Amino acid sequence: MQYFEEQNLRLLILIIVLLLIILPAVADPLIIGHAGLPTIDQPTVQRIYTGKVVEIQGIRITPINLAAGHHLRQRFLQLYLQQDEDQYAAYWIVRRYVGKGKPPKDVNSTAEMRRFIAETPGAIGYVDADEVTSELNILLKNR
Amino acid sequence: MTARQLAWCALILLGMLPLIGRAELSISGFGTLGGTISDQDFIYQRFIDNTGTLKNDTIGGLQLDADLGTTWGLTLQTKLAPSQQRDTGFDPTLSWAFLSWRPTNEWLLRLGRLRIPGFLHSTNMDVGMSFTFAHLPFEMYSVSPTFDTAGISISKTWLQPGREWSLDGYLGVSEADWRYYFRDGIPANAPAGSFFSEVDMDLTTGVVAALNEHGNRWRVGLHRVDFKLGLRPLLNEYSFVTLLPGTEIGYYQTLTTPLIPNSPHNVETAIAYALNLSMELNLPYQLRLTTEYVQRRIVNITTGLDVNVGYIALEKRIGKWTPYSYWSGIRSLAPRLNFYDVLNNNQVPTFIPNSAVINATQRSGADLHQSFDQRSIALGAAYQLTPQSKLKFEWINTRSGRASSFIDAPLGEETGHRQFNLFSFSYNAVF
Repeated sequence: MQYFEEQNLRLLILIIVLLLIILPAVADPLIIGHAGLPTIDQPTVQRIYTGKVVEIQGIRITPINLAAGHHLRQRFLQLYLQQDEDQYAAYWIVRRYVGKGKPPKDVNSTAEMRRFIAETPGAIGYVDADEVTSELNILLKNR
Repeated sequence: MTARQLAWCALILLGMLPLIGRAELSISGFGTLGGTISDQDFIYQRFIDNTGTLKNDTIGGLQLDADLGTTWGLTLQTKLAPSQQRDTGFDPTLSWAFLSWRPTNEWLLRLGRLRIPGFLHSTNMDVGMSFTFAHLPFEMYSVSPTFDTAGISISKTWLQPGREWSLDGYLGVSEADWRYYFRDGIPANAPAGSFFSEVDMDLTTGVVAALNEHGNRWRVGLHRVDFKLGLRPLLNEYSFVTLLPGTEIGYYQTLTTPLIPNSPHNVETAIAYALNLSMELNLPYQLRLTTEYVQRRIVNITTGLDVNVGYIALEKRIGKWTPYSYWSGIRSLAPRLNFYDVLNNNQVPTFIPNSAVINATQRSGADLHQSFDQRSIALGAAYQLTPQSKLKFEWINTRSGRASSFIDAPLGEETGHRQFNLFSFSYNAVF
């Protein structure tokens, strides 16, 4: 009996170690934007991604999202909008079909996001804190 | 799709042609495939009886959103749904065709064919994915034959920390069809059954104030509609014609009896007001409470359409399930219900010449006057299959009191004092 309990414990430890290796480490997403955009706060981020804010200090804003299901997007929704994927999708279904706009455009990777933001005036998005480089304009570091 | 709707679509598209080439387009769609069956053999809500129907719940639509520059947009929505001009077939309809201009965070202007901000879900009532219930409370959402108008709407929003105030105003014209049902018909004049009358709304206008705070919503709206019916003029009073002097034997002049030419009781344009109050609250334990109330008054005609309507609903999210329950009721004002009873029961003796026709005009007159005294209790659940699709199941128990013009009573019978159950199932999706 003791042998089997030790075997089970070793198996559990092995599984945990494998999961730590396989699963990506998820840092908090940082809000980034095109050069020239001012820093913003969390309520403003929330309102941008829910279509309620479309300009900041006269600059037209273009928010961009990662594709649904991306782990960083899920973290972003949770931290900045206090919503999960289903709630966010449901919100935009209502907003679209009351005629008040459509959801932010999706991109497939953070590399694509950084490229879009660099090329598009007024663009706002988010990246993993580990991907921050000096040329990125960080709009919000901490919620 | 009417000629006017097509004209709106063409006008907007032509005006925006130079910009459309540079526009960013987005096409989306929605649909519901569902069925409802009753446990009774009479027809309710146009289609529902004990043989079941798909028509009550089935609808599909497409929407085009175009960004025309940084502040301008174009939205077109068309849908395929059961015809509103007859009880058979499906018709395509242009629901929306409007230009929008959003110069700042606070202002939104829209011009074209659009949906008024009536009740909580009147703008998105065709999209089953956008709300929990299998059916929006019918008593409430049947108050208007249409929520579409062609005109202008202006929205102003005040953004504050944690809350948003908004004020929406609109002004436009509209048209719709109102369904009537003759239980008995009039011998040699009009058959029993349904028929539709055009409703021309020369003026639709209103204002809605709302507060949104941490997901809780409160709204108050006041609306006015000036309308004409395609039938003969409406009546502000029903004259009584005495057939035997010194007795109460006689008949009320209704729209189905010859009216006195140039009668002082004729009304060309009716004026309707509606006051509505709405509230959505997030409660502990993932409960959500929704309640709405509307009071409709048509101030210059005599009709059972003067009603008080309301519902209260509770829903709770449990993982992918959202069970819910609601109570919903509608009641015409007491004087209207009383007059409906008087008119409906007014019968002349058979020795009166043409008594059969006269008596038929009284019951048909009551059918045209309409009256509502009904409540429903619903129990249902929505199951989220994916973020873009859900299943819904619902049971409704409905009871009519003195009368209900939502019920097509069989020949010689009454609409009141009936109780029945509805069972429905639907699949809802968007893309």
